[in-house]
Amino acid sequence: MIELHGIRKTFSTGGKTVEVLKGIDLSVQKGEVFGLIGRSGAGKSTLLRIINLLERPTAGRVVVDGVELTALSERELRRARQRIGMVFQHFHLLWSRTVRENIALPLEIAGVPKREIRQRVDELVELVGLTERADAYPSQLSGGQKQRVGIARALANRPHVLLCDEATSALDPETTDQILDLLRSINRRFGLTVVLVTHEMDVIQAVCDRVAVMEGGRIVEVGPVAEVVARPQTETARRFLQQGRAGQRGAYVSAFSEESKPVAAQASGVRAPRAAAETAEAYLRLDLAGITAPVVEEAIRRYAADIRLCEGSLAEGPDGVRGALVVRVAGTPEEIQAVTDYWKAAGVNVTAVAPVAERGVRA
Amino acid sequence: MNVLAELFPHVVQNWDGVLQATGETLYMVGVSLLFSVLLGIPLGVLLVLTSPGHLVPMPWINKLLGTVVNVFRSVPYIVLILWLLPVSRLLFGTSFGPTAAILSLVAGAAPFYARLVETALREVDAGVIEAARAMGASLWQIVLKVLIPEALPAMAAGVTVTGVGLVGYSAMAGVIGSGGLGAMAYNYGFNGFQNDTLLVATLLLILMVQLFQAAGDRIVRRLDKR
Repeated sequence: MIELHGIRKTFSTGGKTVEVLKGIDLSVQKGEVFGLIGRSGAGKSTLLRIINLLERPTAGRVVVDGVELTALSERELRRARQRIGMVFQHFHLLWSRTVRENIALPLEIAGVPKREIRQRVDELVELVGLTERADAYPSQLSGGQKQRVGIARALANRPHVLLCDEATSALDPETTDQILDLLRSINRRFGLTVVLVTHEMDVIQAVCDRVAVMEGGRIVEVGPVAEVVARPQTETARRFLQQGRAGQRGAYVSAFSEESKPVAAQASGVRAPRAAAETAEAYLRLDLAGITAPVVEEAIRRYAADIRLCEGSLAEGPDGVRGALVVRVAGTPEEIQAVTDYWKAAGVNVTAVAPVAERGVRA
Repeated sequence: MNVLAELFPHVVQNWDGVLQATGETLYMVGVSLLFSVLLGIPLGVLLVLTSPGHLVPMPWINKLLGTVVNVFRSVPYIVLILWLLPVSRLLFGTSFGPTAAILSLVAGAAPFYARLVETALREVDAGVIEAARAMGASLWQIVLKVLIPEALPAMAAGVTVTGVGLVGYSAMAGVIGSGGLGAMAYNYGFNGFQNDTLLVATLLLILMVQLFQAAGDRIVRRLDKR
């Protein structure tokens, strides 16, 4: 969906030139949520802005949706940009326009007829849950609400790609969760490709399929989130992971989370397409106290259902494992039943729980 | 009525003249304010857009415009009137009267308003402009749909300031026979020793500015959604 080839970018200020991107090659698959993490100055935001050519690379090619943006004329580029949504850390809403009018702006720019604009704006306002505040001005909204407007605005022209520049960095943790949930559900519903820049590992773990770790204008590590979390290859990645775990969210199942992705997804690094067969899902709490057999791992290997670890913590003890896990099991009702039966037979205390997202905990 | 006639003999006697002078001031200020705004907005937009680091940096044009604006702003209005005498003779066939005065009033006020527009537009958050660029907006769309609407309250406040300034300038335009309250205060009030005319003309000018300022503030408050 997005191909970056040999991207370099130098800025020159007052006779001094600084190379902020030192040759970046990157390919983002259609429908995935791709994270770019790095400290400030690592070049991640510049890289993001190069994808829609807000920033022109000094060298290299940018291809989005099969179109080489770097080869387009100004006019063609403007048309292409209409199909690339962008969400900003500080929202960048027009304070002179209401929620509705802000969301309408990209449609006006694209020359959509007035009637269609009204209809589309109504849809979008509902999608982001702001129907009641549709005629409010940005100054009357909370940060989370403003970002919802920003997201609705970015989606207005039905883009194929959504670029998020630190979209949650100005928000409190709870609001961050809500915005991330929204991004994730939009990604799933519309098969939208999302590229997300952040300096928080929590954000990456919450929504991303793959992640690239940036340092000093280079990508030093790239791979499925689960893989990078389980086996970070660089010091930079390890530091981000520590920062994530030091947070209050604490008990992540990071050591296990390579299993939290479907096996097919692990191989390609892409989230497996939501198969039509996956008609049901269940969130189950598995009490593993005293269990010695690797029942979760075994279930993942043996059963067709998609099993994902959501939260929990385990500790190895002399008498087996201690602790409990919450897993999401998805598939046909029969498949889910089969896995549940297997665990019960193995002596696991299985109880159904509310979906993790609804309890306000990040999976 | 008797008391009034005693206190303000000349004003009561020449009430029609006072009304006419008020009308002339309103005419001069109104028309020249209109043209100053019409000229000042594009000039201010160009000053911002062509400045370094903005949407279409053009250092030469920016310098040229900036210099022209500064020249007009640095020449005292009373001197500007004199310099523009031949121009108004060329354009209107006369260098005398309220219409001739409007030329110099616009020449004095448009560059001033252009600077106010420039300042107002610079206040627009760069991020909002970037968001518009990311949406695929053209330069024209950015100016009309983002820059000007976002800067509108400040631009409206600028109209008030310019209008108040023009009331003052219009008094000086009396030297070329523009008429108006300022000229009346000077000619009749000061030179003709009519203290009551001087007083009333002054009061009317104060009232005019007060009303204008109050209306302007109201409009700005309504426009400002921040």
